[in-house]
Amino acid sequence: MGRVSGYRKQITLYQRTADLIKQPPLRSSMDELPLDIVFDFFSRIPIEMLFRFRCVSKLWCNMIDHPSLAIMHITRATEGPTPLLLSDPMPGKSTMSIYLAREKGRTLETRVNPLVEFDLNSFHTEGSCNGLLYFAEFAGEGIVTLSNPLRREFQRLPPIKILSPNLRRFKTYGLGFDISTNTFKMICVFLVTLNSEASGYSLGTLVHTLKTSSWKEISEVPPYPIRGKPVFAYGALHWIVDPLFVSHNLIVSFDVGKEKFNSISLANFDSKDSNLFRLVDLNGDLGMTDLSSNEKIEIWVMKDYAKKEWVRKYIIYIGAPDGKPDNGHIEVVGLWKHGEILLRSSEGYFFYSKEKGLRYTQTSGIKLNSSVYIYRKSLVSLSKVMEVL
Amino acid sequence: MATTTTETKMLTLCTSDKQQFQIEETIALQAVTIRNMVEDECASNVIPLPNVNSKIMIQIIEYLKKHVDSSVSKEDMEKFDSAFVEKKLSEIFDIILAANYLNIKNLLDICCQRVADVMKNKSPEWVRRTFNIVNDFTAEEEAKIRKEHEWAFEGVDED
Repeated sequence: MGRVSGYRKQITLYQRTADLIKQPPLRSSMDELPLDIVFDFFSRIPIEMLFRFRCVSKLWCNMIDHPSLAIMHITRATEGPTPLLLSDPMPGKSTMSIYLAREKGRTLETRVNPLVEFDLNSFHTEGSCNGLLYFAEFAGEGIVTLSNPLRREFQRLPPIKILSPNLRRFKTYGLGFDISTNTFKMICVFLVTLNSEASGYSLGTLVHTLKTSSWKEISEVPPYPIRGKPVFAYGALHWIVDPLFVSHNLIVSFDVGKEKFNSISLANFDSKDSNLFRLVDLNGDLGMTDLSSNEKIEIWVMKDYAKKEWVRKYIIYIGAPDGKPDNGHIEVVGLWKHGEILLRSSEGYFFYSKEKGLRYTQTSGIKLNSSVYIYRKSLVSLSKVMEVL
Repeated sequence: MATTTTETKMLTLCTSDKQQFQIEETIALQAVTIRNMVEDECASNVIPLPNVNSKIMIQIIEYLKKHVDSSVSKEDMEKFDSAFVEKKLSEIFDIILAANYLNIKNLLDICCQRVADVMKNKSPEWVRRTFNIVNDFTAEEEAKIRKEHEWAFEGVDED
């Protein structure tokens, strides 16, 4: 429902803005079509091809770069998962590179040239939402940088100044998309106070709407401290609670439109150690990886979000190395093309599918200090995000 | 045994080339524009459609007749739709214009999807030639734009 209404709203938006685009002489059959129809074609074409079609004509270039097309693409949600390689700086250098990755002839490799290279020495990847990646400083005041690597754009958000210096490392970020207003929102949850003896703490929440230029503090705070990379699904961000503070297993969600926190019980998994649970984005579905066994990995998927119903979708039999009690060294990277799951261990990368089981893949050009990340391409331009409304 | 017979209500559609099409009202009302006209001006039952010619109207009626039939399975309907859009692009464009005017959302959707599918994996040159689009970039400008997104030019189909 939400998809349709969002899409409809866009039609009036671009009809209005389309008038501003200068039209070439009306001669060809394509030119006889109303611009909203041409926008409709574009919204059904994969992002990669649209970047190619920018050179067709000035009109096409303007239309493809138009912010409403980026939003239409997001609401239509047809773009499949894309693997990216994020390469950390080589020793002695401070440049990080982002490549498109692919599997060719059973070898996981990067495309020849990086999409973008940038100087982000003390930053690490936090996550992504609808084509935007975000990076945060390891320590420091709290600087977040956003990027659409396809557009080779970066945008630094204003620093978060209210953090007390000794609690700086206790902050968790998330980037979400609010479909009711077509805006991206970056959120930061931080510890305001911490009394380790009484195990007491208080939390704060900041929200940065990408059309504005500042962080604002909201009164809503999560019920428990959270940690790790969130997964954005069903209009909400999801984190696992920080087991340092909470003994039972829970997911905390943040509804990006309503700006409200909720918790999702993981009572079915209470016998397990939530240190070994990871949330994973399975191409728009919320997945949870249970790495607590030394014989197998289980991947659960939220089948019914309203009822909070989990289904165990994959059981991958992998023995942990000798003496290890669990499979915590394995990372489930995400859902690759053709329904295969991409996993990473200290040994390298491998794929799993129900039909083919486990298969290892060679790598080429993927160094140890780099990581493969699965995200969804988008047309969003950071410099134009402010213009969307 | 049927004890009452309700007469099927018919509507007459008049196309741009003054051809008249008599069709069942239930079939015609799938077009939101026609439905609005019928609801607004109940007096006349001849609906003028100055933006649609008879050649396109025949095809649109074929589509509407199939889609009004609730006994057709989802699978068969999809088969019908994919066969229906197997037409020349110029014809698809005409149907798009008519479906847009008549406000038949499903028909518009399948036709737009058809155009998008045809464009997939094609080169910019193919697109310009097929859609008769004039390249208004200078050679330098075009080279610069191509360079910006070099990665997007892998995997282009041969023309």
